[in-house]
Amino acid sequence: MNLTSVMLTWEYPPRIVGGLAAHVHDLSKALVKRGVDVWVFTTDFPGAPEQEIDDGVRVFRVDSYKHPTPDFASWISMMNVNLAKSAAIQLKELRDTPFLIHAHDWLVAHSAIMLKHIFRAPLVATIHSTEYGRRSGIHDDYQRMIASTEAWLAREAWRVICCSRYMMDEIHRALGTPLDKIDVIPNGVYLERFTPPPFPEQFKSRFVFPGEKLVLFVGRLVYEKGVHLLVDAFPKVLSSVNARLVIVGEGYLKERISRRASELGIEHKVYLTGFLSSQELRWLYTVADVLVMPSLYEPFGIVALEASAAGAPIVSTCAGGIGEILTHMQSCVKVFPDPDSIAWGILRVLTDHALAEALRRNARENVEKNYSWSRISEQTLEVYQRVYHEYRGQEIWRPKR
Amino acid sequence: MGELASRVNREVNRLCESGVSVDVITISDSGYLIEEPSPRLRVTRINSPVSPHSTIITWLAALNVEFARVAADIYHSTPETPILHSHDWHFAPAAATLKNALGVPWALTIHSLEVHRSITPNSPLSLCISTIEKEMSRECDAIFVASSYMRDEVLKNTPADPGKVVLIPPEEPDWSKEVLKIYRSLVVSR
Repeated sequence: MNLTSVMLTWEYPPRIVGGLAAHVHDLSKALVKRGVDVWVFTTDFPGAPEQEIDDGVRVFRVDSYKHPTPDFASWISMMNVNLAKSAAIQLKELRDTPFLIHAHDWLVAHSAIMLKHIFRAPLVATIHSTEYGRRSGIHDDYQRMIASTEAWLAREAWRVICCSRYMMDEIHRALGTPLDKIDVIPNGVYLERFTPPPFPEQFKSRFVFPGEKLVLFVGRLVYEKGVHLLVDAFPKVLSSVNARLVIVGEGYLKERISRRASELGIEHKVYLTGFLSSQELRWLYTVADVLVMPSLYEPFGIVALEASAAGAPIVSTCAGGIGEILTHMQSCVKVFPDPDSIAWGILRVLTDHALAEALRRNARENVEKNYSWSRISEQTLEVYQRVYHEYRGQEIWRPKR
Repeated sequence: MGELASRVNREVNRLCESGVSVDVITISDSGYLIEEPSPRLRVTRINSPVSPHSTIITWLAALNVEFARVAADIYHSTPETPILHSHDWHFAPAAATLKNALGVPWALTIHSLEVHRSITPNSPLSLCISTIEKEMSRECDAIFVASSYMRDEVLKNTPADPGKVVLIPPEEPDWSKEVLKIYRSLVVSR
């Protein structure tokens, strides 16, 4: 059966806002390798073509700024209006071929549900995170609206995919989705992309002085990533080891982190790089002496996979899905979300060479075995086949021919 | 809420009296409801699957999905192709997608425009609504207006093709006949 997956996502390279873009990009390509036709409908980006074929993936970029809107939620609403209309025009081509719609997060819920009903096509939804989890609860009407949209998407989906058992439980509790409707498929990583730079020491010298250990943080600079805890832990690390904290990413905490480093008198030992290119980031993982994930909330923890693939020893909290990827003292050193514990973990790795080497080796083996995109796309295809089989097996909800 | 409800009600009844089967999809304040007040009329009242809302845009966007769901159900469960007839901008996004996806002819009645209604026509909200109005005027197959004033306003404020703007005053005794003539022409040209 030649199945077409119609992916809906609000970000797809070169438009990168968070981790969704890379996930949909890599999953789409891996599915194409398994014989699935993948059509991606996404938002426009300056310089990116309206339509293109990207490694076998058909990409359609929709004008998402033609309606002036008063706020972000209204923009999302109108972006969905345009996404649905543009997709509807293209999907007419698929009316005689098997296809399903695959939505990524609440941001495309409206268009996905509308297309599902108009074409009477089955809908699969991947819920990467929930508003409840991102904000540690629902505190106002704006968040309530987003959570309600997430619940609606989950209700309308034939199957819901999430990236960890932790997220499965969260979706069940926060959105009321029955557990037997949820499939856990972890995120994936392409190991072959994580090779060292041509001149590692030269590359490393862009971030640290000779003799300094490179302590790396990668992620959005937001509360739930716990970067503030890492900065608070760093004076303790410096009391024993000559190191520099390299913080990659952007976010609303950037100013606060910079100010906190000054208050602690360690501003000369903290380097906020902002965004780096994907290639630079992959190289940076390979030269890091330790990668720290001090997260308070982490639906999955893609950074843990990337660092493992690159062979960076990891110090991490057990937040969310990370605990399902990494094992204490085998593929990481687990710590509490507390500055003293984080400092202890970092020093444990930086001062025990044998442990660091074992962590590198085990983490890479773990990723190779369980988190390759080939494996992830196989599991996704199994969900597609199950959904399509069930859809074909019923007579009531079929499109008019 | 305003004049629209009673006007649409009058028009629907006149169409039913002329032998047309009409499905009305409208908003409910108290949950999903189907009513069949007369043999040729079915009213489906929908409410938003999302709550609360930050603006009228987010509220109507979710309602548009529900509108599309019910309209698609009607389309898929009836052998003939229905005509979609929407009123003003509120359900134009769903109507445009239904037309593009299913090839359903789309007639639109413009009762008023945002430029007339809004006291802040240059606010982001009003500009958003005006953009929807421009798009619906371009995309629909026929536009009904009730007065030559509205016809002029539609042509002045939207990119509507003058050839598809039809003036049929509600007081016209042959109103139903005129509307049915347009409906038939839309089906034929589909």
